Amino acid sequence: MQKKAIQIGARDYLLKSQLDADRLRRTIHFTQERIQRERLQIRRQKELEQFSKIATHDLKSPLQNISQILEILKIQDPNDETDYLELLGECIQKMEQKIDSLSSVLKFKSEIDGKSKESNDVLNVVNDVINAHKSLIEAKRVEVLLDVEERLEVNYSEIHLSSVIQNLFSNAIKYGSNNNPRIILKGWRSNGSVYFSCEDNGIGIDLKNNRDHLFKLFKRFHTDEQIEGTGIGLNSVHSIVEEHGGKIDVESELGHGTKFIVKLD
Amino acid sequence: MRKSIAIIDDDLITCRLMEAIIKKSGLDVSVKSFNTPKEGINQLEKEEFDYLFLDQNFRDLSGAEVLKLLPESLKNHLKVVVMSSNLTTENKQLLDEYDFVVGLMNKPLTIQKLEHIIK
Repeated sequence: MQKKAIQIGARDYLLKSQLDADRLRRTIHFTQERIQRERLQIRRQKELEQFSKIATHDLKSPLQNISQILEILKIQDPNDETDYLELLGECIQKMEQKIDSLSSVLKFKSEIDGKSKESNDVLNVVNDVINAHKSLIEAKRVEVLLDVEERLEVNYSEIHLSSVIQNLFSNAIKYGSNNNPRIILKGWRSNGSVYFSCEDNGIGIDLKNNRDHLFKLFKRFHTDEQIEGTGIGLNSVHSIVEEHGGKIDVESELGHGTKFIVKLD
Repeated sequence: MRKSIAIIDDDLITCRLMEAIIKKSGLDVSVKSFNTPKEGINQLEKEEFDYLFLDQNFRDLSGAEVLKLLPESLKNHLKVVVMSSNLTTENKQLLDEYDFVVGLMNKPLTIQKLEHIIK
């Protein structure tokens, strides 16, 4: 039996004794843990690949603009009044901003890997996030509807739970409707898992074209340059939730609003 | 005969600089730039261009995906040059895949490269 087990891929441990129910349970448990670790490792590897690809591309593009300026300056043209020094300055500033945001992402990623898991209550954190946005909510006259069950404890540190809720909530304000903006926050337990959802009646996301890119680093879906954003928020939410064994889903319709549903654990 | 070039690139400075070097090249060309694929394709349908200099990477789409969005009617006369920061094998496949993709170009655009493409 042991030989057969090795042939079909047993890798965790092997004992030369009778298999009983308890031992079988332990074997299955160890295997599940190993598979989970391996999956996590593969995901981190993929994230790292994606990160280095983005870093290369984003730093290269202002650098190419700088070499483009040098090419232009080779051509003598007394009629050209463009201030190329100012443009050079803009390119350098863009590179600096990019380096800053890349290093803040790296710092954040190393924090999720290292932090120990504590337990926190969803409603408490939701209330803290709402309070932190109070002046913005009042300024934009956002109606916030709260339907979060009490005693929803999840194994998230306060920073992580707050980061998930805060990113979704501030996106809902940022990309909210200009007329009667409304945000609905819900929290509930179902089949042993805790869920949180954040729904707005804002500008929505074109999911047909963007679903695959939604949680990728530095991706932005609203070409409106007036709305500030770095394309880091949703990627962070996704990383934190996945790292805690949860899942995130989105429903959206352009012009009608967006709803993020998070299975937290 | 005067050649017309459309540029689609989501970096505003890149568009501005590419327009500048094309205008200074002394070649008989006209140039217009567009900041989003949607804007660019809309104009390509209204106005006839000889060349499209297409960026390879947008916020929500890749250059290859933009190529798929180009209306059939444009593919007979438009010559597309895909611009990229690094020429990967994936990009090189675009040359084989689409007849109207006539070249790949590493940025920045130089007058030599422009002459080579146009002539």
